[in-house]
Amino acid sequence: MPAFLRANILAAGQRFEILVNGEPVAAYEGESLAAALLAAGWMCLAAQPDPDCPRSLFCGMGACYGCLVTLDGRPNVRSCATLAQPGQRVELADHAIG
Amino acid sequence: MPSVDIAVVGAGPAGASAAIAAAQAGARVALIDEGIRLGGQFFRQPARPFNSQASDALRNHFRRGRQLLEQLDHPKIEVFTGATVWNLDPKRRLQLYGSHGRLEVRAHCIILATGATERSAAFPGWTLPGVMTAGAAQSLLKGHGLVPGGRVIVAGSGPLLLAVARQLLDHGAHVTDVVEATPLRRWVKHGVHMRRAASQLWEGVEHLQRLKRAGVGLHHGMAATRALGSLQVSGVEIDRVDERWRPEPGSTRQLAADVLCVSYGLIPSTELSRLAGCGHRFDTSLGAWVVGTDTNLETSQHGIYAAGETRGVGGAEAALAEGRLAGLLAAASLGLWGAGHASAVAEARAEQARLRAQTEAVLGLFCVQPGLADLATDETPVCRCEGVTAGAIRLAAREGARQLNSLKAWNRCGMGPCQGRTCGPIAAQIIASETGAHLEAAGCFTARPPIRPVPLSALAETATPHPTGTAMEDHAGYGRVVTGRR
Repeated sequence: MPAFLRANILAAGQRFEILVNGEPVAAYEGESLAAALLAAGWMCLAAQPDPDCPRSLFCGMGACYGCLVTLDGRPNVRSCATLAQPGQRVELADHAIG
Repeated sequence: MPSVDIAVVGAGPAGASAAIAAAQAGARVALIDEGIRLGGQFFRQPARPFNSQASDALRNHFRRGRQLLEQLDHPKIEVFTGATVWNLDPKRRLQLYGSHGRLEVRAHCIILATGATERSAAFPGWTLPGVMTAGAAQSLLKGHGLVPGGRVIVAGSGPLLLAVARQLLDHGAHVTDVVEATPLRRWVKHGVHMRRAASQLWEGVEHLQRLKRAGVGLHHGMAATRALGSLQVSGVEIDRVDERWRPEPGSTRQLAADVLCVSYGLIPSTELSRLAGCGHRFDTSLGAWVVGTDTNLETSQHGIYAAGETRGVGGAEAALAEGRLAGLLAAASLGLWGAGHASAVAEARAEQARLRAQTEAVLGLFCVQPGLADLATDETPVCRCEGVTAGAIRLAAREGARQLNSLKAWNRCGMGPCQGRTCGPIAAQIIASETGAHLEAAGCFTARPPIRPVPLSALAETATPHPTGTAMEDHAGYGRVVTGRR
């Protein structure tokens, strides 16, 4: 069972792909990176403060810095506060395996 | 460097209505928000419009928010989204950093409408993926049309629990249990005050009926005391708690769950007002600091106003009226008022007072209780960023760390990327519980620029490399301003 499901309550939007740890993942127009990752079955998004401390979206509003990912080589990006866009490359912490 | 009449920080109900009122009075306004879209948490806008599968309640709510936000399309309003304010000095200069780079905004008046964050509890397992605030689950639903795929438990205290459980249920989530720490007998005692809040009460009853019909387990006087699982949540332990939310030994029950939503009310976001040196007061029923203002919503710093939850939790309806009032008053202070100004101010003032009183009646029922600190075992991480445990905080408190700021010197609590927003209120409760002192005595973390992590390049390019207000050397004096104590 995926962590989160798209409940089909939004108007259809453009589908595109982002690369997560090198794997293609579907995202839809207007979604945050965190939303696309959770809907794709990733529950662990980060590890904090140590590699053996799996973390995920916690506050969902950019306050807790729990959902930090590496985006296009830039570390510590809040995935809940960043728009998903075609062609983005996201690297998750080692621990964050789907 | 843009210079405007009024800069509004936060585009939720308070900030949006402040910007609209000020612009309509003739002021040039900058409206700044760090979110991807306008609306804040309450009027969070979806990635794409809702279709007919969304509940009527959600679609009506969305329409109401959109009607408000459409008024921001005004020639006198410039909107900055995805822009984090990382510094504010008493001279009303704001430093922004975001997707569009770095920017400084100067304003004659500033209206702080920074809203609130959610209060969580620290309990074993609360850092596991799958444990999130109730607001986070709501943001995924309202903003992205996502619902949890597995079993959901909503736990904590306050009116948000029923609302979120209901909203998730209405959109196909499998909500199994709602766990409310405030016992039913408190409802009976508090009942008389609820007369002032008949509409909220009715809404709550309606949520309850819907949840009961769907077979959701409703537990009063109980709290989630442990999240089980190794890589993510697989279950939750709940325990009976007394009226002060202290868990009663031997009452543990185990429930299966894939997502645990936690909420123990709201905590006003005061980083910017603390940074600007505004005076604050401790709100006992919230168990948190709020920015102080005079009756015209001006803080102790000239030209800096505050509206909405940052002044104390009053709810979105009160925030709408209060934002309008702040916008009108800030514009008037710059000599901008039109026909009907006085009556508009009087109307907004009356509405704000009435709606705040209603919310206070409801929140009085769910006052934060000291037993929340007891949910953390010594091994439980409290500072999620730095991994500081409750045991380390208790030890520090016994050794003399009686304030949040001194705690930093002991164990780095609150010094990670979130800068104590999440752990501060919990650590304060643990200190109070350990020392026996009042929660207020633990103070609050000093806010220093940058109040959000920004790249060094953003600091290096700043025209004012030595921001005033919270330089290290001002620390002692600054602490006095914030707490009002000498």
